[in-house]
Amino acid sequence: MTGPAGPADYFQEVRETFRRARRSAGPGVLDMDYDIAGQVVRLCFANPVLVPILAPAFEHLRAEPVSSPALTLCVFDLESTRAGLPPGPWPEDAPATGAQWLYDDGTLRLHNQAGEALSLFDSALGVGIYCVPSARTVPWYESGSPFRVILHWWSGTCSRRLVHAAAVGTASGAVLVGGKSGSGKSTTALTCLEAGLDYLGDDYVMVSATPSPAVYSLYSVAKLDPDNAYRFPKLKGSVSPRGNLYPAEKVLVFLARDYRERLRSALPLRAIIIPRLAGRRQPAVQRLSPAAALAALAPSTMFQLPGAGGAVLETMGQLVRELPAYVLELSPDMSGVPALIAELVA
Amino acid sequence: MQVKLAAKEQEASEKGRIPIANVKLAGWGDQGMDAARYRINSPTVVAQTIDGEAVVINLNTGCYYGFNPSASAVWDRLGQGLSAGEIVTAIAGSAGAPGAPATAGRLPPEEIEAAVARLIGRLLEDELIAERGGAPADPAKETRPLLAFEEPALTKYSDMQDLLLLDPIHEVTDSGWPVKKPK
Repeated sequence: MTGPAGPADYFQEVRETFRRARRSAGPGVLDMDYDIAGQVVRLCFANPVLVPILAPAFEHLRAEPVSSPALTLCVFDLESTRAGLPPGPWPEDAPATGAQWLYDDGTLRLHNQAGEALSLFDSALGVGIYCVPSARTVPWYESGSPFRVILHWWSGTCSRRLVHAAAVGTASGAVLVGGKSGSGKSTTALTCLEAGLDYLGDDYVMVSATPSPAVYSLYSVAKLDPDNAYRFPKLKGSVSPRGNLYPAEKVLVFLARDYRERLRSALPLRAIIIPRLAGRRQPAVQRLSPAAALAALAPSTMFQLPGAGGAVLETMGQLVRELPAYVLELSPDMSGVPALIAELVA
Repeated sequence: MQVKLAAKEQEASEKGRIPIANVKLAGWGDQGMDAARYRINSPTVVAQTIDGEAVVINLNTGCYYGFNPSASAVWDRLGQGLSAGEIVTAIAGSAGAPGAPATAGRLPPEEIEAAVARLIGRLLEDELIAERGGAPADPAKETRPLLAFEEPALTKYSDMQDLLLLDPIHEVTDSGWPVKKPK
């Protein structure tokens, strides 16, 4: 009796499953190249089913095709391709949903979010594989921040780090807006976007600390709490093309069409800000110590991304050592925030 | 001057808090000077010390910590492999250094020793460090001199613990087979 494959064999078997699924889909190239953090990333879809769900978030980063992308990401679902996965390197009695499994030997990484998505990455090959059971079951947030786990792993191979933060600024540079979910990152970023500032992301971006701090855009989709949507009437026309598919969740706002000229792919970083609800009449900034900035910035990244370890924290440590950090004390009236941020990056 | 050590905790939801004064240290003998050495519990525990203040994250428990300068000085030296006794000697030896406050030299070593012992007990309790073999310290690493020894304190945050507890990640062993993450 043959048991489940080990991690390396499993990766190859899933990759072969993707190839077969792609061949069976017939002619038609479904490869798209994107400039992500100064590198070309190619999305290879087995068939068109997942394209409208997972590709639009990268629309603002489309690049000319190249012969050798830095990362090739193979994407497929089991339902439309009628494919089946081989037994994985996890227990046969593993729960169908609600558990995560992680393998990480430094080169090969597997992450199984049971029932939702399988993410595989081989850094030696520069190949990632993303598989979901069905287009119908793709988690709502994946449209806003697709392939987050694989991009997190890949970022470490090219001196970048994926972080849970927003970033906005001007041509002079950007601020990194850190803090846990619900702390005001999206509200701050979208307030600045509507006021005419440049936008790189409201939830996840990539950063580098060397040779000098910089931030890179990943997604041009903002996530907005429905209770907070009244603040942004101009964004109403850019809400999710998937309609009311996730009525209980956040609203996805696709920015690439209406705000293309304000979406930046990269900017130098000038400061770190941590929003806090302060009940002030007007928003204000207060200087924050580097250690306090790290404590506010790092944990939500570290706890969310599988396999995020000392190297990720070290990059964020470098950033707080080199950049001034501030608490952004928010007020119900956010109209003063863009000017404060423009001043910080000037 | 009385040196008091207390692990301050500001978290809203921490359970099972243990008074650090009651923690007994493995290897801490009646002689009063511990020769045991410790290691940072990496890769589960990751840390950065910036401007003399350590930020420590326990990826297993979902808790993270801010250390004050005295606790950070002990933490950094533990990470270098110094024993508790060596740490006490190093800290006591900082007294009188240029810029040191006048009070620094008045602290009896036994009070510094007691404070270091209690902090080590708390770090062991929260599984941030573990005892290791008695290899010599790494003299190559430099640590920031501690000019004034105050109450070593750490602030523990558990506001993101739910992220882990709701959705535990199961690591795999070297053999490639998953094991359930210990709670």
